[in-house]
Amino acid sequence: MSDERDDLLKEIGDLLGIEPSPSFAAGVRTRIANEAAPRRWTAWFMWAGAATAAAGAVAVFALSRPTEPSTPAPLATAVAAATATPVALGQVAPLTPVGAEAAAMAAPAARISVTPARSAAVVTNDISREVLVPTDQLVALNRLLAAVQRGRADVPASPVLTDPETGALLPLPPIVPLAGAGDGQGVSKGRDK
Amino acid sequence: MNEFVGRLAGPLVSVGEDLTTEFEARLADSGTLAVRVAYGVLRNRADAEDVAQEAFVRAFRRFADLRDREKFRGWLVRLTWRLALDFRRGGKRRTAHEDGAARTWPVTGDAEADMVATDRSKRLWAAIDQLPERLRVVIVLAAIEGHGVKDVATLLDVPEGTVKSRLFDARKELQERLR
Repeated sequence: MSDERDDLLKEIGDLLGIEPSPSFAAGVRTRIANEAAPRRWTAWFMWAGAATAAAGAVAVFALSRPTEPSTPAPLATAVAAATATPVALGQVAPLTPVGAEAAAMAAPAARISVTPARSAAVVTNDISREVLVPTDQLVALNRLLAAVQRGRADVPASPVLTDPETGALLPLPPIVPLAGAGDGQGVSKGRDK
Repeated sequence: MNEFVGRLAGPLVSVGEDLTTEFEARLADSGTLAVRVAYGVLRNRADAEDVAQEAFVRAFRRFADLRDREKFRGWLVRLTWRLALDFRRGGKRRTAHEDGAARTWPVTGDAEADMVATDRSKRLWAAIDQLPERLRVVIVLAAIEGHGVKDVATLLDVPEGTVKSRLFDARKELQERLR
């Protein structure tokens, strides 16, 4: 390189020889900080949006599933559901035990044919099934179970008749149409037998 | 440079302690270079600082890949040059060429000498502006901080022979225009 050319480079170097202002580095930091904050918000909104979309998809899927036709609840399931909710018993049948009833409440389990353990098993087995029980039937069942627990009623262990002496199963009495239907005297023929 | 960086040192966000420290070091080390490179295109200090700051912000995003000092400087110089060209093409300049002559040629008290110096400066800038991009970037980088051919080749990521050739052509054109 000739001296003349070196002088040319030096001259250009003098033209370009500026120094950054004292606020230059601070400006870089500020711009980085300003850029980082919106990014965090963007990320937060992205996650929130994704979560909302996922929840919506789950809801749509759940609602679009075919539902079973509503059928009357089996007695065992309804009873199990009722016995599994003791709080509801107190709410539906706020009966106040007095006298012998209060004494009988001390050991109600011995007189109850439907045990909580059995009902729990039924509920577990039918947990995937939808059981619809009309409100009036549920109230009646709750009253019945509350009465049983307090010793005011008894429920046979099974809906079959047994011979009290031999213990053998007896056939259920046939259902016969009432002869005097409409005269207000209708009674079961089976009882007359 | 180190003094003002140290004076204004504040926490940078979103990176670990090591990366923050390293980035601060790069900022102190290459800040002046970036501003001068941008100034070589824009010839306005405020615009040059804006562009250099933008280059550092972009470098910060990719700093995990740019931790090597030489790699960082080269990447920063190329990015700053490109951003400055975009800035100029976008017509964002505040006042073009506002302080090129006045800053570099101090007032001597001799009106005639000052006028000659100012005229020389304007002619030199005009000659640099007329150079093709590939020659202008080489001559500017060679003039900044006394960079040699090897330094310029590293910064531009081109062979040294290419830099020598372009530097020769750039000097030749400048001398012809300045006659």
